Amino acid sequence: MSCGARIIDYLDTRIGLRTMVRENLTGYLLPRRINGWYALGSVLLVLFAIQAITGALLLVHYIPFTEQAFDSVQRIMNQVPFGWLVRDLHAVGANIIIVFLLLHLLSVLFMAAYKRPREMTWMAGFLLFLLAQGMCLTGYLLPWSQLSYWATTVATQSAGAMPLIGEPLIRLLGGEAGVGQHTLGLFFALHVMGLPLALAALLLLHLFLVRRIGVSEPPFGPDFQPRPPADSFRHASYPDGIPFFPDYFTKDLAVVCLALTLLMGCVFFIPWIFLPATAFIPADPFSTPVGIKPEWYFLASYQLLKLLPSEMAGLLTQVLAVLFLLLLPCIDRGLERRPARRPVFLAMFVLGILAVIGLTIWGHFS
Amino acid sequence: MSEKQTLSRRRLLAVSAAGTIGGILVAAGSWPLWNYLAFRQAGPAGETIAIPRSEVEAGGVHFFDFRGRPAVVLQTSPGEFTALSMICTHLGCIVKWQPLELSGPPPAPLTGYPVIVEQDQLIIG
Repeated sequence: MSCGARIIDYLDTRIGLRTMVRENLTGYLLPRRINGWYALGSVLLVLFAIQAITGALLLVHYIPFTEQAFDSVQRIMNQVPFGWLVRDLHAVGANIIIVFLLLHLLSVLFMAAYKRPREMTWMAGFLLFLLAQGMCLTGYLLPWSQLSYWATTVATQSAGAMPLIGEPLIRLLGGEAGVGQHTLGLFFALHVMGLPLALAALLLLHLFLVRRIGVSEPPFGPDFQPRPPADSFRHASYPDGIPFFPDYFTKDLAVVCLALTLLMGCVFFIPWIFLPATAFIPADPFSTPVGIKPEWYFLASYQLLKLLPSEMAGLLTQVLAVLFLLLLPCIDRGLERRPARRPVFLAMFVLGILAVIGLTIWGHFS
Repeated sequence: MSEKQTLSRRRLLAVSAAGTIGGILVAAGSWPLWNYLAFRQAGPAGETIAIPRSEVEAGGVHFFDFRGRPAVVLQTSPGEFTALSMICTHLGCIVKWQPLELSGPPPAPLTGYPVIVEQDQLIIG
């Protein structure tokens, strides 16, 4: 018996390895019409893993003090061997994650995969999306450049317009002194410990729910019929489906490779699209740069704040929009999942995307 | 040639190829990682440090940081100054200064630094 077979036998007698592999990989059947959009979850898992590894590596050389933070990042970029690669992978990777989170969210919305029995999966996923944005916001300040300093100043001051919690929030983020060492320390702690722990816990819950409930059937094709909700728990099964391994795993791998190509392409050829000139000037509280703007994924929200008559109205509109999306499975409870048979939803979906793209472009050029 | 022999040769080739590719990938990943983690910022090679002469009494010692490492300057006899690294040449521990200690396990003496006396300053390095 070969060495590999002995190891497998050893594990099989102790943890039932062969049964586990059969139940979760080779014998785990997915809908026959499953498409590439279902691979976005795997892409995000890989991207989050890259963020965790590069983040841990950056901690080796990063110094979270206002006097040294900028220099430490410059040292990572210019002196530490392969530091530029680690830092660019982390900074560019954060933006690519937002792109794929948006695609994942939109694909789930379009295929109405949030409906019963997957309400909790959707909510956990949506909260993950919000947490990832929190990770981006807190990480943005850490290089302590003009860009990060002033973008964070704008963001923290906007938070002050929130009714009731605005004032305490401003005090928590740095008080009247504005963004300073206290804010940097707080954001650093949140970025490397607080938010990643919450994100990991939520990610585990999301994955558990996906596996426990089962993959949803794509609502396309002539034979697709929406099923009435079951009264008791029933794992979604597809006896005539394709095995997760190796069939779907190969498709997963192809989409992951595509996403990694995009990430590496940006890192090697166009890293500057996420790092404008103000990212290379140390933070100076006495010199406000012209036309400072938040990151591209906050531009729509930034433009909305400028459009509405008061900051509070802008913030409340956004809080309501976030709550609407979070609670969507409780609001949209119809059985129909086929996009062509949901004209109202489809119209809102397309108009919503157009509005966000429009506000983002307007915010960029305003 | 029997079928069994052909299969085992194929297997050997597959394992060798997988092992070689795996080894190259691990090495390609480990080398940048090792360089990244092992980086340590050193001061400029020609950096010197000035210490007021009054800080070092005759027969006394003064401890200071030299290029990020602990060092000591001694006035062994009036007007005679010696500067030494405090990193032990045995296992790299920081030496606990004991003037009466004359020998020990190190294979070589402590690294010395040149000292120039300029008026009331000691220029080390």
